[in-house]
Amino acid sequence: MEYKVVISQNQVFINNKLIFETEFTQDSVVFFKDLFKFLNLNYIKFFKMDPLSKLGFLASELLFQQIECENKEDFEIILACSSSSLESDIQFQSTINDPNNYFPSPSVFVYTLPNIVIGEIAIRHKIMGNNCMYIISPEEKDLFFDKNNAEYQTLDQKKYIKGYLDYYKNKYFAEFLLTINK
Amino acid sequence: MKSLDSLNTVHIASDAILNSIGLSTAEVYESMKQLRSGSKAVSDYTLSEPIAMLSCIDKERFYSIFSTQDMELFSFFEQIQIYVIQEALKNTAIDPSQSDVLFIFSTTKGNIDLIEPKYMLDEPTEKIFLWNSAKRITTYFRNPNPCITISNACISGTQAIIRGAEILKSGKYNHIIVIGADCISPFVVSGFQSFKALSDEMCRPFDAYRKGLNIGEGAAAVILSKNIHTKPQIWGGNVTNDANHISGPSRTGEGLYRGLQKTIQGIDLHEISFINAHGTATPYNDEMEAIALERAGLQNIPVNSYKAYFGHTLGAAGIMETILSARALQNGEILASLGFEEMGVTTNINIQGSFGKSNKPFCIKTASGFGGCNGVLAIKKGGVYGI
Repeated sequence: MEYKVVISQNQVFINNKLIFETEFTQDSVVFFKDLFKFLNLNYIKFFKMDPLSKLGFLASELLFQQIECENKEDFEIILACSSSSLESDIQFQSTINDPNNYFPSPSVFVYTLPNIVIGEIAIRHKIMGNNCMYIISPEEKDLFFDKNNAEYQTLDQKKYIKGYLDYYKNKYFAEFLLTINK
Repeated sequence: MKSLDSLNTVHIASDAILNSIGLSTAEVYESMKQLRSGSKAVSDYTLSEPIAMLSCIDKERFYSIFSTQDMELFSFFEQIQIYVIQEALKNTAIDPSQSDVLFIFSTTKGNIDLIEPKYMLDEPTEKIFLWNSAKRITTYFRNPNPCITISNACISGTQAIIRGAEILKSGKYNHIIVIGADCISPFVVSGFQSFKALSDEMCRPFDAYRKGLNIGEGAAAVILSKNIHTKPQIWGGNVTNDANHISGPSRTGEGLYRGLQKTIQGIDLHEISFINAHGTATPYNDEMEAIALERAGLQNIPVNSYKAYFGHTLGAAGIMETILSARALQNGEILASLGFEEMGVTTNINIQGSFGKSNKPFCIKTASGFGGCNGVLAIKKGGVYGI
């Protein structure tokens, strides 16, 4: 069983079928909020997340809505991104540049780790299995998803989310796969 | 990772470390036996707060032995990686330009100083991207393969070794060079300071008066190869998640407990010489680890942390600490948990306060990080049950 979600510039596809679209808007944050509403979610933590985490969170929500699975403890979450946490990095850096306006905040700093999105998904679905964040160039996306390649292989190939996501300066892209092998 | 796979065992063929207390694995290990700490009070990295205790590389000494010829394109972060790769390759017959060699990199913040205003104009340079940095290093060594970069917070190094062992077992490569590095920057220091996680004295893992961590910097490399039975073996390992909080350690140590449980399956607990914990010396981390260790039934086994010697070296920590633990195991020694005097966690675990000896064949290395991730490795002494 396999499901694929793609989120790209105001559109959402599940298994290559367009399921959600908004008018072109410059602000990705508005799009993420609209998609969050469309999914009918009640999860207040979403609004505290940085854009990279929101993107990964929404992609995984879309996938888990496709299946019925109460206990997700043993799922693996294997993600890759290209720009890492650069968006939050630049935001954090701006809070320490000026000695007269120095206000580093832990709630910004935590998102300067690209794997926090994995933590957000894990918390939401109580997933405690293997997890990893790889940093790859955009050209390596196919290699990352190639099941015959040892480099980015999951651990036991049973139940996993494997996803590529990227967010920088309002440009975003996510391609997530959910696989359950019996 | 599946353990007990005796046909294809993964071993540490060679290694190298650079940090605040040494320019080689041997020097770092010797400094630790002499209970030397590299942490010093430094005021350069923060703007508002008082001094922070940091474990910095002695740059003058480093550049006295590392030639910067052909190094114009490489940052300090990249130069220290090139150095440890070169050092690890010495005394081996491994040619990094061959297609049977794969590079795996681990770091948390890499070239993060490149986003400081003095380096960045409108857009950050491409060098900020971790994949770009890794690719330039493998190109320097003329390696033809794609390279892997792991950035999974503070378990990156431990996880990179686990992944390296898994990939090696797949049979596609004969040697895997696993590198971890992180540097001290205002970004990292102010970030940890904002969490009030930094101590203003040498850190004291598991101690009653621990105040927080010391940030360290450094690089380490291990070369993993198959079936070298005289060398320490990467016996097993697992990565788990707490599914609890993005920055706070789990109150029950759930993820670490599960990782320990999976990893020690098949090991007689009486055969474990010591556990090298993450031991950052923050109140919550050490308490979480102590709970997980007790839940896994490991409360009687000696536990140490190396963070007081050379600080928390972030993405390099797991690799550095695995190398040093493997060396201790091989020597029949247990390094002291520097900074520990009085028990400061609520479970009754067995902290190794001073240098000790043991000839038991296994040791366990753990790591935990933001995002709720935990990594656990089991290392087996080389040559013990060699085929």
